[in-house]
Amino acid sequence: MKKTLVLLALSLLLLCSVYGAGAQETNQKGAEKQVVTLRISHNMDFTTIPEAVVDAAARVNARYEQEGKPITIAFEKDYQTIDWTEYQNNIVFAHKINDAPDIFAMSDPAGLIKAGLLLDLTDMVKANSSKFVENVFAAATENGRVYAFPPDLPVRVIYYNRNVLKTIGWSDAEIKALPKRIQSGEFSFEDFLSLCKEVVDKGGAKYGLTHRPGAGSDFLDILNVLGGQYYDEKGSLVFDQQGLTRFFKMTYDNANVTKITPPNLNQMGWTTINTMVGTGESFAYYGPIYSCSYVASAAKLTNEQFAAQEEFVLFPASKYSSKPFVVAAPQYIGISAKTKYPEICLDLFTELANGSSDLLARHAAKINSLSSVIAANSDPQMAANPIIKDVAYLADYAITVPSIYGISTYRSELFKQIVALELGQTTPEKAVADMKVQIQLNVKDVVFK
Amino acid sequence: MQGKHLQGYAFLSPFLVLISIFYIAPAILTIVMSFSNLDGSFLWEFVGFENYGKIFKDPNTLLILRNTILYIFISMFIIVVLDLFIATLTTYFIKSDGWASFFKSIIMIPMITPSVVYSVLWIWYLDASDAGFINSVLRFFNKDFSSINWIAQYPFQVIILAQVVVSLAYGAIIFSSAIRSIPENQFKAAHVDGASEWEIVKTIIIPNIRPHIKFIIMWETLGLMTNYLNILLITNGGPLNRTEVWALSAYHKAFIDQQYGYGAAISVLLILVVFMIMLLWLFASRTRKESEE
Repeated sequence: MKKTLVLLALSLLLLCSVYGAGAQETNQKGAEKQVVTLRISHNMDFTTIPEAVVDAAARVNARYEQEGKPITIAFEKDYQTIDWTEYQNNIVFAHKINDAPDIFAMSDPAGLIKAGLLLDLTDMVKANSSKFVENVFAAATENGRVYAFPPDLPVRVIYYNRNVLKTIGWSDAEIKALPKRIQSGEFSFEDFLSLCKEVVDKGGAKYGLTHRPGAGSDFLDILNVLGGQYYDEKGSLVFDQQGLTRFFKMTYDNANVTKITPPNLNQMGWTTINTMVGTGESFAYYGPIYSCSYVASAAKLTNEQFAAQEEFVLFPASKYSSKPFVVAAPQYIGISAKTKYPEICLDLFTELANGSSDLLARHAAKINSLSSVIAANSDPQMAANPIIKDVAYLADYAITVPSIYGISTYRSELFKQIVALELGQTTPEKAVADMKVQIQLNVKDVVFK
Repeated sequence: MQGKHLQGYAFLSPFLVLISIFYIAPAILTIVMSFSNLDGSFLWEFVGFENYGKIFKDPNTLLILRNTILYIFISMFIIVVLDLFIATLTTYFIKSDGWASFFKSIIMIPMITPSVVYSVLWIWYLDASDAGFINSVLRFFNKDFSSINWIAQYPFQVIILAQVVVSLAYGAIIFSSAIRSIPENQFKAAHVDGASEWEIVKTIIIPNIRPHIKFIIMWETLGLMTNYLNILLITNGGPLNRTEVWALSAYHKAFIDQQYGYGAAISVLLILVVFMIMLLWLFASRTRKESEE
C-alpha cells in the first residue's frame, strides 16, 4: 500500500512538473518566459476575424521577444455556429460564472455594454484614432466610451444585374453611367423602382427587387431612403409614423401592385433567394455586400464571374431624403472586462490597427467587405478582390448607426408587418397602427414622431 | 403495511428530489423572473406586475388566446377520433397481427422523426413556389394550375394537420392495447345477439376504453398547450399572428425579443392553467373512484 502511495505521489509530481514546463518556457537568454493563454471565441462563418487576432499575436510575440518581455501569447480557440442570441447569452452566462473568453465576437454590443461585460477601449482608440475610418465605433460607444473593436466595415447597398439592363435594351454607356447618376442624385430611388418595373414588364427578369427573408437591418435602410427616421441623435428609438407609412406602402405596392417583388418572398429560403439574385431571375437586391459570396455560390458562380455581372450602388436619394448613402455596419469583437490580461488583449487590438492591418485586409477581402482600418483598405489583397476593388468610393457615403435600445423588437415587429403586407393580408395604415401598439407596449423611451 | 408505504416513499424520494431540482425550482425561478424586466444583459430589475399588465394591454393577447384554444380543441378532437378509428381498425377489424403491426409502424414514423426534419418536409411539400411538392403534383394533373402559397394562405390548417399527423401514433397504440384487453367473450356474445359492428364499437369498445380516452384527452391537451416546436418551424406564428399560440408567444418574447421577464410572465399564466387542468383531472378521478366504491 505504501509503495502504491509513493508511486502515486511521484506520478503526480512528474505530471505537475510537465504541466509547469508547458506553462513556462525558457528563452535563449535563459530568462523564464510566461505563456499567457488567451481564450478567443467566435460565432458563425467569418473565422478570418479571430484568425487575424491569433496571427497578430504571433507578431506581438516577436515584438515582445525583441523588447525582452518574457511573455508568449498562446490561444485556446472556441469557434461556434449557433444562433447569435444564444451565443451572446452564453457569453453573458460565462461571465457570471467567471469562465468568460478573453476576446469574443458579439452581435449586439449594447446589451453587453449595459451588463458591464466589455473592457473600455477608449484610450486605445483615442491613441490610434487616425488609423480608423471615421465613425466605425458608433454602435459600440456608450456615453462617449468605446467598448468594442470593429474588424471590418461591411456596407449595406443595392446590387443589380448589369446583363439584365442589356437585355432590356440599355446601351453599354447607359449601363456604365448608372452608378454615377445615382451618386450625383440625378437617378432617384423612385426612378430605381420604375426601372425594376420596366425590367419585369420587358421580360428582362422575373422579379425587379428582392430582399432578405427574415427580420434584419436591411429594411431600415429603405425606410431611411424614404425619409423615415428610426433613431435620433441621442440613439433613442424613433417611431416615425409618416416614414413608416411610406415604407409600408412601397412594400405593399412592390408585391401587390407593380409586382416587382414576389408576394411569397418571405416563405422562400435564403438559398432560393440567393439563386434568384445570382442567376438574374431577380434584377436587384438590397443587403450587405458580403452576402454576395453566398449569392455567387448559390448561383454556382465564382466571385470573378459574379463581379462581372453585378453592380453595387448607393441607396439612391428619394424625394423624401436628401442624398444617396450606404450604411456601414461593422461586426464587433470585444475584450472581457474580467480578463486577467487586459494589457495584452489591448496590445493585440493595437497591433491590428497598426502593423497587422494586412490581417484585417485578409479578412475583409475574404468576406468582400471594406475595412475599418484605413491602411487595410489600400492593401493589395483588397485591390485583388473583384467585388470590392471598384466600390471603395462607397465608404465616402457611409453612414453609421449608433447603438439603439429596443431596435431588435422594432426590427422584428417591422418584419412581421412586411410579411403580411407582401401577402396582401394587411394595409399600410393598419400595419403602422399595429406596429405602433407593439412598440408602445414593448419598448421604453421611444420618441413618437 | 406502514413499512411497505415507507419503502415506497423511500424509492420515490430520488425522483421527487430530481423533480424538485429540475421542475419545481425552475418554475419558482420563472415566477420570480416574471416580476423583473430581465433582458439580454441579464440584469435583474424588479418591476412588480408590469409584465402581467402588458399581457392584458396587448391587443394580440385575445387573438393568441383564441388561436390556442382553437388549436388545442380542433387538434385534440381530430387526434382522438383518428386514434380510435386506427386502433379499432388495426385491433378489432384487422385480425392479422402482421398487417396491424405494419400499419401501426407506418403511423409511428412521424412521431419518431426529429421535429426539424419533419417540419422541413412539410415546408417542402407546401412550398409556395412552382418547385413545391404539392404544387408540382397538382400541376402534373392540371397544366393551368397556378401555384398556391399554402403556408401563408392556410397557416392554421397546416399547423393542425402537421400536429395531428405527428400525434396519431401514441394514442392509437394506447387505444389498441386497451381494445386488446377487452375480454373476447364480450365480442362473441354481441355477435351471438346479432349486434352490428357499429353497435359493438359503440357499446363495447368505447365504454371499455373510456379511461384511456380520458387519459389521452388530458395528455394531448397538456402536450398541445406547451409544445410549439412544429408551429415555430413551419409558420413561426405567422403570417402576422395567425398561428401564434400561447407557449410560442412566450418563446418569441423571451428568446427573440429578449424580454425574458415578459416571456416568463406569459409562461407563468400557462403554468397556472396547466396546474388547474391537473387539479381538475385529480378531482375528477377521485370523484369517479368514490362513486365506483
